[in-house]
Amino acid sequence: MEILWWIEDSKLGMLVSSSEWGYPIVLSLHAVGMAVLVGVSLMLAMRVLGLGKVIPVTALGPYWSVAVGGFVVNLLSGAALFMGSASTLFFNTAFHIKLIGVVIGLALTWWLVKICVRGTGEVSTTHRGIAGGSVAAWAAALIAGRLIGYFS
Amino acid sequence: MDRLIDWLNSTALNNYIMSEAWLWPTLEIFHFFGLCLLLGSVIIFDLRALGVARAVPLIRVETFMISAVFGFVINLITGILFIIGDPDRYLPNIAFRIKMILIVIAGLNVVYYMWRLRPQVQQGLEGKDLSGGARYVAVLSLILWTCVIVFGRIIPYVEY
Repeated sequence: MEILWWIEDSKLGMLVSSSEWGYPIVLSLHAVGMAVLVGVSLMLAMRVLGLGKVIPVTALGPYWSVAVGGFVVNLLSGAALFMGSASTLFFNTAFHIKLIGVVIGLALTWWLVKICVRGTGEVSTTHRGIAGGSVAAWAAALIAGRLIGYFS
Repeated sequence: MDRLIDWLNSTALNNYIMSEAWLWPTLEIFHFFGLCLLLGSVIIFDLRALGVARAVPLIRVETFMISAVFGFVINLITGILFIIGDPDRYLPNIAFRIKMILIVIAGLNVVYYMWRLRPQVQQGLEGKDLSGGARYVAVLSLILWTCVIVFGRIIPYVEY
């Protein structure tokens, strides 16, 4: 796994792992991006599951772009964090579970937006199932992500 | 301050929090989940006040604030347990202190909203019809809560 060492020794990898403020700054961006992505995704799922029924579910469409914005911040900050500790993260089980959780959470939320939030306004049992699944996936991603530091 | 820290360190709860290895990460997980609930609903509400998703009636979007209150309560409880469990790490820490001040200001911002703006929203007023700086309140709220997250996250990396 020579390439993992090479990634860590790259300029960006060193900036994240060894400069005084690199790591805390990127980590803060990652926390804010998480709050935006997971927070907004949870709100969309909770509306489909029954919170705030007085609001038409289709009216929430514009917030999906906000969630995507949070995802982009975390894709970039997450890539930078990975570069800072590639050789350990690559073999970290909690990190693997987190990535799977994020992919599933993002896919289910996107699917929910596509067929329900941008749909007719009717909320079906299938929609609720997808919403519940997305909440579970985000919870798994968040729990596993928090445990990365305890696994190494 | 030193006496408070010494006293907290001598409590049974401090002892318990530090003796159970699973407890600290569990509290952290709840704290992170709470901040997602809080910021998520704050984003829905404040961006709506700033003109995003106009199809949502402003008077209705308040329903989502139940999630903000829920998230805040989770984080208040877990946050207090962090302080009791490891007072030396938090109470003297400058990032922690700034975070607490920002939460107080964000709270005052909510009080101002309840006092000055909420009665207008409940009458069905929106957008430019709202007087009393509704847009500033929304922008301030988003900035403050984002900074609360940032200053909370850097606590372990700041030496006093």
